[in-house]
Amino acid sequence: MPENRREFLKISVMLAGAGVVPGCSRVFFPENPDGRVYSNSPNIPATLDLADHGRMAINGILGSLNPDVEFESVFYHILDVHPPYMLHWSTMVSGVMPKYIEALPMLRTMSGSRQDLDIQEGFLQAMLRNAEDDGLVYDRADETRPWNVGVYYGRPDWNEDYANMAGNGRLISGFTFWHQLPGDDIWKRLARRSAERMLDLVIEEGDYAYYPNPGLGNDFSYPRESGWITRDPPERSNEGFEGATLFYLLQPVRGFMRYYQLSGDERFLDVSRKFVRFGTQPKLWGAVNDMKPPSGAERGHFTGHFHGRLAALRGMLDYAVLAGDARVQLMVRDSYEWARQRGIHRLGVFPHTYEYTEGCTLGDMTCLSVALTDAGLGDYWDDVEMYSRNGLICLQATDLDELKRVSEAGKYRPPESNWGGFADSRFGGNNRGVLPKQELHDHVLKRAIGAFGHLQGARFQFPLMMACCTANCSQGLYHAWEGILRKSGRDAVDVNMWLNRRSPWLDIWSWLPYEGRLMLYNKGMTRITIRKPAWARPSRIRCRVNGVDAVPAWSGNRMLLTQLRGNEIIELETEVTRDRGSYTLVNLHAPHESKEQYTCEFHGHTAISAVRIRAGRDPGEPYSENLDWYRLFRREHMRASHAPMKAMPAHIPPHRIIKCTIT
Amino acid sequence: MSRRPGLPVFILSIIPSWLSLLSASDSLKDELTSIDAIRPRGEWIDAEVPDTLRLAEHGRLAVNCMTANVDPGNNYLVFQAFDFWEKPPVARQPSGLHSKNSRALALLRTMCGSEQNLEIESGMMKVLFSNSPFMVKHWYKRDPNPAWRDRIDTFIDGYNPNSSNIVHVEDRAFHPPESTILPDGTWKFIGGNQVIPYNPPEEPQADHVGTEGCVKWHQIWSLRDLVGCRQFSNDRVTHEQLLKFTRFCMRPELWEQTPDWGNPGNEHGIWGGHFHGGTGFLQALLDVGRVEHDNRIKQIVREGYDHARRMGNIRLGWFPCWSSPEKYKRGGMLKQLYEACGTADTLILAVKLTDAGMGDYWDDVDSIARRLAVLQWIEEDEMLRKAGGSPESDALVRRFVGGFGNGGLASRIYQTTGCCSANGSIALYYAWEGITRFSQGVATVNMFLNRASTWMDVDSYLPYEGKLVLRNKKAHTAMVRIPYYVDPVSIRSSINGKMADPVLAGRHLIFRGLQPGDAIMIEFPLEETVSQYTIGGVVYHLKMRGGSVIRLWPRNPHPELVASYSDHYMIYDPKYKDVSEAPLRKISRFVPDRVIALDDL
Repeated sequence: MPENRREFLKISVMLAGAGVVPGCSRVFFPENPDGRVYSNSPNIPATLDLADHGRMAINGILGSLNPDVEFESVFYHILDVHPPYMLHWSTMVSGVMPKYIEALPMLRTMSGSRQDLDIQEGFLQAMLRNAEDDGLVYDRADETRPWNVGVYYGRPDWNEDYANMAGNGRLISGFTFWHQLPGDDIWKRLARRSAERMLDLVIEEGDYAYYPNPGLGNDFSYPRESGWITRDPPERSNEGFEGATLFYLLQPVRGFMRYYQLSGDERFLDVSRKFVRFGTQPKLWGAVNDMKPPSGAERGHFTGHFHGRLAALRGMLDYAVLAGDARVQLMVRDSYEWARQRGIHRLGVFPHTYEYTEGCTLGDMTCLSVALTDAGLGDYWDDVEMYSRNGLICLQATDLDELKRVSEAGKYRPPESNWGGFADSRFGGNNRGVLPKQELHDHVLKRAIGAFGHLQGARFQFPLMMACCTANCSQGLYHAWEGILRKSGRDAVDVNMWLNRRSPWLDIWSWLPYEGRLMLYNKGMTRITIRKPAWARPSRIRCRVNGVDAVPAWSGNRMLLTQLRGNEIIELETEVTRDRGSYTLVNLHAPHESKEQYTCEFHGHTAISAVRIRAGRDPGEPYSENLDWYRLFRREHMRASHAPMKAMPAHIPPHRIIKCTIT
Repeated sequence: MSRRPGLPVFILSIIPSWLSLLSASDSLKDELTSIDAIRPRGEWIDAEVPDTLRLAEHGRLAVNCMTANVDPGNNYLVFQAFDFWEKPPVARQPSGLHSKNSRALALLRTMCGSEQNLEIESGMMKVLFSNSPFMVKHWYKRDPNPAWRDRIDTFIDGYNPNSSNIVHVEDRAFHPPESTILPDGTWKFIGGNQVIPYNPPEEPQADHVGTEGCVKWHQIWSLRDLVGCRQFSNDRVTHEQLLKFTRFCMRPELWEQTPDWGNPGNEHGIWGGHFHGGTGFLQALLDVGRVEHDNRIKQIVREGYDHARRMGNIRLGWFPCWSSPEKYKRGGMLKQLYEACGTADTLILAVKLTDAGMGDYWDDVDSIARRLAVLQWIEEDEMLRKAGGSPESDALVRRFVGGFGNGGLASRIYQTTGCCSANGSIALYYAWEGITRFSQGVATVNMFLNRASTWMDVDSYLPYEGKLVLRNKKAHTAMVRIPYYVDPVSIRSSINGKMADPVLAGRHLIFRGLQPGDAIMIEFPLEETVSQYTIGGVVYHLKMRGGSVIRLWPRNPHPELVASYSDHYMIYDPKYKDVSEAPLRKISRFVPDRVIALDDL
């Protein structure tokens, strides 16, 4: 019996004995962690509450799972036909579901939702069973899942078990996140098994490390029986079905670095250095015509897969921070800022091809901006807030009536027809049409609530939800939510963004974008710092403590309130600046075709409206006209001068929450 | 060798739009410009400090140049060009840069306490007394005498939006660049050889027309003056005029044409060409965004700075004189050349953006300041040697010690220029002032650079040692910003020799409960790193300790530069090699009673 397998059996016994997985709900719900509840809970403004979006995201994630097939996730919700349907796809198990493992503890923490804990438990058990052999999660060649290969990903004539290496890197990350909450050593041991196996499979040549791309399943996946049938290193940045070489080579680094942080095992730092060295070769970087190729490459400029690059940058940054590699740190920062300039960053819209923004891109932009801030490479909290208030939540399906309208406006489609909705790509390219049991039709719209998809310009959601976007954007939500405030030291809190959040130390209620008003309920802190958003002017901010005007000290862009008693109500008021601007969407693949323009109206960082003033395509071309799709920026009500109110949510997250970024 | 570097020289050609051109009583003028009124106020203290970069000392040397590169016999005009490769050297091109000198001097004296040539500064102020609201606002910051404020009000009242030197087109207004209006009402281009022809008073169709090639930059006097007026009044006329100038500057034609990239330059602050012109204009535009509460504009400026940063190398603090000069029909050599003006303006922009709450750019400021200090001519012996060493030339050369000029990535040309000397000096102050700030008992330390202040002295042992000592005077709390190259976890700190346990909040260490006289020591590992960058087509290796360049190779000037300037003074002398302990030095350092706050918006 391989050592790795023996170790797994030991872990399984311990997991069952400790009840960690079956009893995971216990881990996430300490009751009232601050030890007090307001007897007369005040009403609070009914404004953007990321925790609420996190709650919906749990529905989106768990709703995508199919208990009949080992809790496998579908890839797509196809929404522009009636009845709508969901689709199984290649490489979900090892490519996407590890990202759910990352996301779920985050979403439970932020929202307190107990929804479908049984499904979550089934999902975790299934994933752990899958990883039983050698620590890696595999997509299995099994007759119950005929979509294993040849559904967009992988040669259709080569069907065996395979483990996507990028996804398994995220599996390691996921285990380390679960480890953070209860601090249970079992998760660390699971992470070690997966990390060790991934390390075994690394090909090292001199100062480079990489995984090859045999062509089985999704790109850069390891064939369980055949092993690496090629050891050739990738030569170009756009290899594979996705055309995103670095996405696959540098996401494992995210897992390695988190495991290194947990274990101190220097082998993982060393191999990550080699992956990053491979991944920063100038031939794999550079944009079109913006500067001389070597200079562009050194600055992380790129073409191609937007999300693929950002996901890689996150791995590079994790490594650079832990290794103290300033060159790579600054390359990541340069690349992020270059990427930010490709989109309309104030809207949180970052098109990839024509006017189309992939949800994953925005999930990554959000997480990367938090990570850069935490790494001390700049102050990107305003970016985080802009993305969160606009593009990120626009990507999420939250309005059931709107989903119904879209579906009913579409064509009637009998299940299993040999045609599909707009985004159903099974009927061309590397696909095999309708496969048995590939479609699900049960409560599709309700299960889509909380899932994430793509944007068409700043006008519509695409009529699809996509599992990877749901996983990545959910984590974007969490990164933003977690960054709203941070505990520093024993009795102090730093507020970074003017967004709603509860915590054991401080509750923040924001009246934005209706009113420039923020209220903080202090729960035992003696010092609070509050960062000012870029749109506000220090001299125009009125600060009151328990109703009495106070003059806080300023340190840079932060107000400091010290010598607090711990029970104050702190109120900030300022005027919300309003402005309007016109912006053009960049078509990253064909910059000369960047035509679509919007006029946007902002109150603070919130886009109140985004009106298309010029179409990206000529009349008659697809997407040029109005579509019966899910409409965005329906925010007329935000012009009101007073925020609507609602009851205070009950959930207070625990003291110990997941720290996602590496510092 | 050509006599001039081929650099554009900014010439003040704007006719003031202030009709009143304020007369003031001689007694008021004498009072406000008296030596006593402008004398730096503060305390001199003796201290033993690490012998590392002291921006205040660079400021002291800059005072020398700022007060001596002018011609008192010719209305204090500044000698724009001083080439001391010539034997004997000659100071040339008297130009109207004395307003920059005057602005710089107020700042420099605050940082270093120098009283050198106060009478010259006083004389300069008298000449400039009715210059512009921007100038007066600056003096008012140094001397809060209400009489200065009254003069600003008078300016506002006297503003003429239809001044003959302003051209109006639709809802826009502009000054024809490098042009003047003649008594007969016709316009004349006065800028010299036109690289891309411009015909005043037509509305320019590109930023790079004329000689200087920075049309937007030529609007900044009006933008600054109008911003100054907006700060102090809600006057409708100046408000509308500011918007008209801004609309002109935001025309797509005046930004980089970016069809290959897809994102229009004017939406994202993408600009090209003259670096000083670009970053200088962005400063003024940021002020417009702030005074008009226009977040769109503020974000454009932020992106414009990002764009500037990617055209240079921020770890070196290097920025070219021109980006893509060939594209704008300028010589390719310009991209191998620095202009201290451009370096200085990038630093100032980084500070202003930080102060505007648009990001945290203190690490950039640190990098650029360290380079700026290397670009300053402080080597008097070398200057004298180069100029030939006669009593007459020595005396002339000494007037320019402390000035700035031009050069390459690792070298200086043997010259100073008036504009660069003034802008470099102003930037020194921006960096110095940003090192530490104080608000209601809270001292913030933004950069690990030496500075004395009334609330706390900062002693930096970089780049020899990873060590900082803060000598507290007034603060009860210190917030120390940790640069990106320091791992906060690796920091060890103590207060008066006893181990301290500061809280880490974001990237700030917070020390609370401080008492006057406390000495806070912060120590961290400082490793040498070597990185490789391609700059101007050459692969350079950069050895650094923290934010300091220890060594750069290859160190020879770029061949394109040598073709125009054969003689170079090499910088980045690897003197830090193998030294791991900072030398100490006994000095007398100036602690100003009050600093001139730069962020007043």
